Amino acid sequence: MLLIGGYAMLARDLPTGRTPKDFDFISTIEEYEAEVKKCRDNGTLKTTYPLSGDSMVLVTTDGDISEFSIAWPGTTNEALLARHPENTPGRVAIATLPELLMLKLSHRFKKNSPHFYKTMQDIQLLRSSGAVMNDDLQKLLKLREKETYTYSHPNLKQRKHEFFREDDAIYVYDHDSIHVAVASIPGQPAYTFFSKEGAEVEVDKAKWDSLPLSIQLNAGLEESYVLAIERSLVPHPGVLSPRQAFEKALMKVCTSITSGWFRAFCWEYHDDILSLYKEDYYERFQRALDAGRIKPFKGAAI
Amino acid sequence: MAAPLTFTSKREAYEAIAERHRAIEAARNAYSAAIEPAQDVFKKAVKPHSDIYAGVRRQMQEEVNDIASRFDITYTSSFDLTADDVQRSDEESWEASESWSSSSC
Repeated sequence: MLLIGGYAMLARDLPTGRTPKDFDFISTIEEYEAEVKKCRDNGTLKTTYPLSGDSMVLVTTDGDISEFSIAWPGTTNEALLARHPENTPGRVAIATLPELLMLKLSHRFKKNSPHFYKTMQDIQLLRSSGAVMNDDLQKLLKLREKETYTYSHPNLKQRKHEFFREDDAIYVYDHDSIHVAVASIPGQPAYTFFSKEGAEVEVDKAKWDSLPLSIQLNAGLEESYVLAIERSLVPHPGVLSPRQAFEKALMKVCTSITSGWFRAFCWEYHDDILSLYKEDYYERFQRALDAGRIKPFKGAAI
Repeated sequence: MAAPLTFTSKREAYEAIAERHRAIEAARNAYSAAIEPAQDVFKKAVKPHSDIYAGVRRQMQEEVNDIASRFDITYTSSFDLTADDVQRSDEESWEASESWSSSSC
């Protein structure tokens, strides 16, 4: 078995400042079943059940909760176990810091994860401790990301009316009008600096790369403002504060609402984007709305 | 309710048990949501939920027992434990509030 997660970080002298809630292991199915048998035989088995075909929970009578991620043949779990010849029956190997970094990175973009901030903090901690992935771990990371992200992301290679579908039934106002209202540079939304020539939604990586960091950060900031307004503050008034809606939107931008290099940038610069937050963004939108500068959502109209 | 149990590998067997575990959990949660706000005078209104939960649990447990015996799997339900006993941090319903409109993202 291979100890991963918070207890592995503690075992590697990397205190996270949190008490881990459970023990996380990568194990073969035989190792998991042997643990269950051991607990059953010595009377400490409280409950055990699968969360999926790949993940099992074991709770003992002394309150310990363990989660076993199963190393089925052909998975990255199997490859990780193979890196630890010291993993013999009755012994628990401990993941190295670069391995822990790879594992954390592999789910940093996970959709709607309650662990978003925890994962980010752990990655920052692991990096600051000097953890670096070698080529083998880089390859494993790519494979593990494929195992982790099984849902699709928005396709930007579409016309605007296809991207913002009317049947989504969540839009009230024109997306681009909101961008103009909350732009950090008046009248010049940051996304317009890297929009692809002739495209309505698609962006241009070469243009992006030539931009100063300040405009790149504004792009993440403004996307999060707009998302907060059109997904939360307008359709669900009074539920979240503008700040809460923004923080949720920024998490979405860093995980599931965008993809590729823009998402990776926003994730890496999350704290910098957050530091640029201006409390009055929703007021700016409302002023623009009152002044008639926010167009209604036109849906499928071209 | 369930499809014929035609899977052959242990991984599929665990997945099938997990599906049934989730079905019991969903029925239990619906039952809890119904009973929590109810006072004694409303207990009759809760009874259908109770019956559904009991029915789902009975059927799913029978299927789990069948699968587990064929694949030599140990399964013990967690549903008689308190929430604190099995408080796993990734089971929070992060998105389950009326604060956000989602399309596919």
